[in-house]
Amino acid sequence: MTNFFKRLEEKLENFGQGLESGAKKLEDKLKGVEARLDGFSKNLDKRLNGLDKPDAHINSSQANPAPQENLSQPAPESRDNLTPPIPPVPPIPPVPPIPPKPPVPPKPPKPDIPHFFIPDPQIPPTPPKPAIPDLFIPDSPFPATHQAAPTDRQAAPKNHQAAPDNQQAPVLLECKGLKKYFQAPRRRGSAIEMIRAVDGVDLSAKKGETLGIVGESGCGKSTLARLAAGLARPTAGKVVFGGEDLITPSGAVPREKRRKIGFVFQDPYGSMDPRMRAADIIGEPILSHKLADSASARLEMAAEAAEACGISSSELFKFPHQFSGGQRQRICIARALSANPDLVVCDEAVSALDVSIQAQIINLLCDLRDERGLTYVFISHDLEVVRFISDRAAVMYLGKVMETGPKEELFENPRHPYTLALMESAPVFGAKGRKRIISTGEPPSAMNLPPGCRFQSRCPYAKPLCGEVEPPLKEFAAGRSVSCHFPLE
Amino acid sequence: MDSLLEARNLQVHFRGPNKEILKAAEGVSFEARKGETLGIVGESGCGKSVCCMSILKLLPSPPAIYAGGEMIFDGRFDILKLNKKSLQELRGGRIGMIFQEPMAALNPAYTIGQQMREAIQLHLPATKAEAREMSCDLLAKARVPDVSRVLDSYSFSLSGGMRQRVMIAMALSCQPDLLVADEPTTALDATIQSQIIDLISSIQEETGMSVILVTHDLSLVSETADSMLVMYAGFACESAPANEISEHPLHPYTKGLVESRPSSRVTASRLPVIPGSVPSLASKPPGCPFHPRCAYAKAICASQFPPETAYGNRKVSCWLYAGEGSS
Repeated sequence: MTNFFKRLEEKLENFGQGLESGAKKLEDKLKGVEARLDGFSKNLDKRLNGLDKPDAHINSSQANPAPQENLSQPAPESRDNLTPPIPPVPPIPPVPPIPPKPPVPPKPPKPDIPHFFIPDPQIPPTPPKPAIPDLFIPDSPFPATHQAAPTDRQAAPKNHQAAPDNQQAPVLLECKGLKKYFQAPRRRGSAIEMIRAVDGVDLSAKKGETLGIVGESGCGKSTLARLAAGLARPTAGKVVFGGEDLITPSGAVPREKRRKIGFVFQDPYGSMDPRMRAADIIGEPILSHKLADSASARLEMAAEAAEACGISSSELFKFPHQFSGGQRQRICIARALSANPDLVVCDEAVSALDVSIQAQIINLLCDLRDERGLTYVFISHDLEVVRFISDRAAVMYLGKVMETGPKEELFENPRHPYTLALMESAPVFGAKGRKRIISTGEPPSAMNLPPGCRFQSRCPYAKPLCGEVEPPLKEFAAGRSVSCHFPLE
Repeated sequence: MDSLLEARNLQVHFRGPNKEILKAAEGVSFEARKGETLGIVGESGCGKSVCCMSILKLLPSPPAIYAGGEMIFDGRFDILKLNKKSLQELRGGRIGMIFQEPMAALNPAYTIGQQMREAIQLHLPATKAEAREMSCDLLAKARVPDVSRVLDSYSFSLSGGMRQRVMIAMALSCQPDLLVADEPTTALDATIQSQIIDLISSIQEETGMSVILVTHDLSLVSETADSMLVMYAGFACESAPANEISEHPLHPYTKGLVESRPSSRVTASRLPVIPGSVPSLASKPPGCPFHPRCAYAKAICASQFPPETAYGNRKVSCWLYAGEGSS
């Protein structure tokens, strides 16, 4: 027994010693790490000091010159430092002056609500209007432009809709008989089937004009966007951009033409590399088109594009996940604009955003268009958004254009039954209990389209002819075409 | 009109990653009256789905904390205090629910017929054949063409609109008194959306059930709902009969939402916007959560939560109206 205790004691002692030596070792290691950290921070200080001086002359208005060189390629680290390089924190630029808040409207008058609200099931309530204070009678205090726009831009008289000079503008983008077929996944023993995503589209956009394309999912609007931007090769037909074919006989899109076309995608987060900083994302087109001869020049150009889109320069070094949805879309728009394009294709650019953010982005797109004379191809399933932003609109259904025209005429006086069906199905604000004409059924698959008109299976006005002959897109008035045998009056 | 479901001062919290408490619903009250439609509107992250899920106590709690408030159903009992068994009876029995993404709500491993049978047999003593017959009737009621083919097919072989019809048929299988529809048409196309909304309102007319329609689409709610609740960052800004809100919104947020939506009424070349963006639950500003974006914000808005002011059957939570009103 005593033996056992002795052995136990010995073991305990050994264990204690082991612990002590372990602790000592750990302490040593800690000291080493501390020393290295010290060295590193000293190094950093030195380099920061060195950076500040030569950069000071480049652009004094540039708020954060320090990280310019560290933008995409981190400066070489000295070998003895094993700690990962930490990019120097950009100094915070001076806070831009906050635009003065619109004056708080005078306090609404005291409401005077009589007690008529006791519900009476017998008599339908016909109460006099309650004197609820009218909060908003003076012109709305909500700023008319997007948040970040400087106030002087608001003052500039820029009513885009009133601009009449679009008539004489040259055609920038033209689609001629454009087709894109995809091969459907093949089942065993069956013949090859083709999905006719875009099936003969003729459209054109003049310089400075916004062409809206509206349609339901699967109607080929996104494929059309990709074709127009040269991101996909058409099966047949061609895209003419600025008077020349977009795709050369060799099958490539010339670099210079690519620069002139920007693209904004639907999902802002999905279209950015999560490991790149905002400045790199916005600067990538500048890099790939070699528009800047140094990293600092590129940063400057990126910062300029970002500022135009409402991203302040202090936010340029954040990662995509640090931004909100609306800001991400601003970054995507800045990226599309950084190489100074003529045409911007927006594929459902505002569909993923909340209503209040959507309005900000729509205003931003309008401002940029007016400032830079951009041409937009604006694609959306949302009729009201297309109606607001476009000059001309086209309605697509199953790969074909059903109707085109200037937006006022198209939406005031739709000629195609499908355009009418789309307009009827969009809910109208404040129209309680509105009776609407609802088109029945669902769109047929783009794989086996019915003969004749594509819409005949759902059309309330279909006649036998519609099931036999496909109606061509006919121009019936200047700039107005419809693809229907029996257009509405 | 009697109230069927009444939420009083509902408080739902979550535990954040750093053990902080995130208030997803902060004292929300609403009422669904018999045979009427209540619309809950708001942007993403405003807590509308949280409210909708807590109607059936569907949020799993640990993460969710039902911190307070009552959910009175039929004027008799509080749903939030029910035990598991009575909740099970209520779910799908007296309260039916439709979710946003029908593909995720349907099981791809079972046929539609099997899933509908499960829902029916859970609440009613029906044999296999009877259940199938009932499913046929229900699908026909939801205007599904070619019913027997649909019953034997799987969810992935149906189109989005058809799936949502199946979901509606399933939700109706036990003739619920209340149908809760959480963004039922968001994933659908415009023409299909109008078909589904029309279907829901025509079934409502037939059966006299109540509907709670949760959506981000203000126009959709204003067209279909009888009363409306506008939510922002977990609190109820404004509740009123739908036509009154569309004619005369009181809360600055509601007004901003109405104006910032492009429509044929907008003739200016720019849309009026609400500046800034929706705060996350973790960084909710003190006082009124809307005050940093509000053009009418006063000093008090930044420090104190606005009280609720009532004008007859309208309620608004805003300091602009504090101390006024009829009750």
